[in-house]
Amino acid sequence: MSGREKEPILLIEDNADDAELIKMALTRAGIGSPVEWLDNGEAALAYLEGTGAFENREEYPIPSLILLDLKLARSSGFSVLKWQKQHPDLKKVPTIVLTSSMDPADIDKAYALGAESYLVKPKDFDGLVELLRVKATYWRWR
Amino acid sequence: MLESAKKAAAQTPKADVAAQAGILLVDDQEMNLRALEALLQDLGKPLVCARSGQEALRLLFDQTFALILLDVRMPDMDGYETAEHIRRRHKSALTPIIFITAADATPQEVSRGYGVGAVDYIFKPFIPEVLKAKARIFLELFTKTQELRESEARFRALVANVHGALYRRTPGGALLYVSEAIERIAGQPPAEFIEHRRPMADILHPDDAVPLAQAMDKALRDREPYAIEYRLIHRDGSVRTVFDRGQAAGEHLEGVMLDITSRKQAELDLRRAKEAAEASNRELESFSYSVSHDLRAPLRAIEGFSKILMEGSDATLDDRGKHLLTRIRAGAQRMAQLIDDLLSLSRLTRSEFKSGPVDLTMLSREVAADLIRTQPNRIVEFTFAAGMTCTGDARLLRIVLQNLIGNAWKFTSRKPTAKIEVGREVRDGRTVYFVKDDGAGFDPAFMEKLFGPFQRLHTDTEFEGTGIGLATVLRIIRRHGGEVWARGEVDRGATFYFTVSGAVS
Repeated sequence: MSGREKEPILLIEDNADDAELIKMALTRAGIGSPVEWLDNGEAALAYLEGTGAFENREEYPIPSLILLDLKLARSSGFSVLKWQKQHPDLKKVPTIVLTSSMDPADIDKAYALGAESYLVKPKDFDGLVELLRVKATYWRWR
Repeated sequence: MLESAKKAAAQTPKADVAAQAGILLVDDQEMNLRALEALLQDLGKPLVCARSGQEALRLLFDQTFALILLDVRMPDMDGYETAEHIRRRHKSALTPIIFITAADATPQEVSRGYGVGAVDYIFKPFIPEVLKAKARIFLELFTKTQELRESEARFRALVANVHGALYRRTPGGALLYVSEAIERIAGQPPAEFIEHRRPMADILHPDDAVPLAQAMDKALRDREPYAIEYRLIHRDGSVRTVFDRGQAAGEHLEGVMLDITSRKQAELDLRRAKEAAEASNRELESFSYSVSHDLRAPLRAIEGFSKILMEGSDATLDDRGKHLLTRIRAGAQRMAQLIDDLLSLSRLTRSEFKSGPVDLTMLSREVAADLIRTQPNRIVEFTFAAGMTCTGDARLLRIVLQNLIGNAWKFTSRKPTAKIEVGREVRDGRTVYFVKDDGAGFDPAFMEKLFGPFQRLHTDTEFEGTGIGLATVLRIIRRHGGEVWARGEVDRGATFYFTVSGAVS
């Protein structure tokens, strides 16, 4: 296992079912990294900043990849994205927006703020596995 | 002659008064009357004789005369007295009277005659040519006056019938003339403004005083017509909107004010209704859009978890358990399909309309080719009319054809061989396109349900579908300003017709 493998994938997703499925799909796609799941924007910011409950960087290291939902409780996915992409140490972490919105305005905005990729949640589990196999692998090892 | 003349005069219809009004001859001497008659008959006017002042007045009750020749000296009621009575009557107040009197009449008598309303004097014995000439002049004068009065009456009637108020005003806003219609607009009669000098400013909405004054100034300065809308306050307190159009006339302004209050109100109502409809439409669209997205999330969970369960289930689930799980997954997938269709229907109304030339023949061939690829073993004979081109949104019209040809494909699937025709015909001068099949058809009784969303005429075990296709077709065709309708019978095929006016939505 390389050093990269230990770096977690930060999953920011307010739907517990979706979070569970994404975790399972990552495993099935052969991505063995630990997944840190946070269900709101505020906690996501605290994790990335290393403040509050996430002070210990040993325990909560900077992630190798961020999977970000747009519709979040407390501070939207966009504001997390904007903050992260303006942060000198964190902006290099690739961020994949993983959402159910197909609104062109959302897509444009996500890319404008610096998202590496924009993925619409597939309807079926197999699709999700396949998507994560390709995209998550690419962005973590690029 | 005398009787017939009398009759003719009595029967004269009112409309021809000017042409037919005759001459009234008043003299107590039969001989004089005969002489006047003989002299005047070639003037071509009815001649009516009266042998006394009383008889003359009686005749004047119900007849109009163009001229009265009146003998001054008569027993009982003399000429002067008769003339006074004639003048006092409204009907004959303006009829010219020529006095016939003896040559020895004193200047006092003559001036008395003029005093009671004579227009001229003829002295006996009169010169026939002079009498005839004078009579002719007065007849002509009467005719002209009558014509003038009629024309004035016609003008008044015209003005009264004009929907708006005609006016002449000073730059300062004093009305010199205003027609009756002002009463309908402002609740005040013309006299209020003309005689009582009420200024326009009194009934003008205060906010509109300045723009109106500016328009008037400009019209006077540039000598150009103006057209301006402003508000007047009716006597009952209501606000009336008028459209005022006019131009400078000398140092005054002349024009017409039209009451457009109800039109304004109708416009306003229409605009409000339209805005409300658009707002509720937008609301509905955004609602169905977000509902579609929110409904997907639990479905993903059902689909995902059941899939994982299914795959790792060999040890834990028996065949019956697997069967039930398969049913659950099929239900979830079907619901996902419904949501997809609902979403695309909602997106359809949100998308931009891009108009351009569209080749329906080519689109139909492509759509058919896609269908054939899905079930290459079916035997379906396709026919396409050549050169079907129109103006519209190619992307949207492709969806129409996908649905209509797709339906034809679907509803012929139970037959060993089938025919599908995409064609065109001209009906009442407009081009009608159609997609015709020889499949399952439908019961015409349910025609109106065909185009409603989620309406299905067939069960799922017969033919699959979500019932959104024809609702989509209807929306697209409406956006094209066209119409869509269908004809069919159970087991005897269906034909769907549509028109594309080429107009933008």
